[in-house]
Amino acid sequence: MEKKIQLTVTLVFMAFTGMFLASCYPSDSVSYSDLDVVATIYDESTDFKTFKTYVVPDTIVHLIDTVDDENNVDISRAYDDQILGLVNQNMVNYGYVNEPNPAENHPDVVVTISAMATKNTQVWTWYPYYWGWYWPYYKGTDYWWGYYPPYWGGGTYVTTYTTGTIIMNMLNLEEHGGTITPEVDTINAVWIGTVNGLIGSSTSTNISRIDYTINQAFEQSQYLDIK
Amino acid sequence: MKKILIIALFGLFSSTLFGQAESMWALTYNMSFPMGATKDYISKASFRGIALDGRWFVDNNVTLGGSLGWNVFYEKEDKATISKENLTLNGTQWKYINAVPMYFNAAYYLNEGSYVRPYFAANIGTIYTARRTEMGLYALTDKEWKFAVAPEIGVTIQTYNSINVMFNLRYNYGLETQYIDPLSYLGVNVGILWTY
Repeated sequence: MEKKIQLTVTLVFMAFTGMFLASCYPSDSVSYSDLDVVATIYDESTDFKTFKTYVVPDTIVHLIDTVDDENNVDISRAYDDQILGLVNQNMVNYGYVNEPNPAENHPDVVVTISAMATKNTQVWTWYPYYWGWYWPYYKGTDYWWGYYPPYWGGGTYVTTYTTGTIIMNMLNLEEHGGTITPEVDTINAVWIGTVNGLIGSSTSTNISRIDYTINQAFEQSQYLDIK
Repeated sequence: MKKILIIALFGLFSSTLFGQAESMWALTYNMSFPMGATKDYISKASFRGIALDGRWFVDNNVTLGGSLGWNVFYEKEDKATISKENLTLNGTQWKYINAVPMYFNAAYYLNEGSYVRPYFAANIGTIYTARRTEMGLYALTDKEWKFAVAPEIGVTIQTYNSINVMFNLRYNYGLETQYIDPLSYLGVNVGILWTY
């Protein structure tokens, strides 16, 4: 009787602890915006306060994978105006002046915007498996008690997801004095801001994610402020 | 005060408990409270932990043995910003520490012959530490073995029907290694105990 109580207590205790040890990497529910990452990097030798004028080309360039065409995904242009507007607004907020006639008056910096989308496929395979043991067992007064874990079959699980990246590239034209020979001159990037995440289908969510991430790229780059 | 009285009565009227035992085994549920650099990384307490202790009596008051445990720390930080040199990242972070302490243990027990035996112990060994930071679709993982020490105080209690209980406080400290800061946390551990 005493041993039965001990066993019962042991099993209850182990079940209790097991509930709390479901995995090495517990997690809560994850939303699309949870997976967005904003990364910015700048050239530490650049004094941004020497810049004054800027221009943002009015087209977002779509980058494609030329090696493996199957990975490419058509990118919607539904958000182009929103992205261009946000970048322009943030540049103005930091004190830059938009150059209305860049063909004649070269701006100090050009902020190019490009985007890419890639389809990713992951395949998970597991094999039939049996633990091969029964545990715990206990010999009572008149019976054997045992527990047999279930048998798991094998299988394959395929998941596909599409990632998108927006790249903002601030190029220094000032150091070339306004005259650039494309075949000769190297135009240096002084700031790069990227936004990366899963591409979702909800328009309202996408709009708010673009708002947050583009603004955040500038927010975390206070050195761009020339006011 | 009432609790103290009950414990004192246990001690006074107790018969032998672990006096004749050669060894004891304890399975404990662990709650862990991060401290120091560990708290800087993950501030939330861990309620996912388990440990198995085996101890052999070398006399009525002293045991030598070992311990194997597992503690999982986890914290989600919404839209955190981190910078290193000229690079800045912003995103929701999922931070994990899986700590597997493996110790040699020496313990000294008070109240020989009592149902309630407080003890103090020293642990020395290693903590296998896996630290993982997930951000967006990316993850950074470091896995290292840390030299570790863990002072401990606790109590063993015999209750009805020989269901024995162990309760202890164990401060775990793993030294700094190449990629992971010192690991520091206080374990509050409670579990059941068998003697043989």
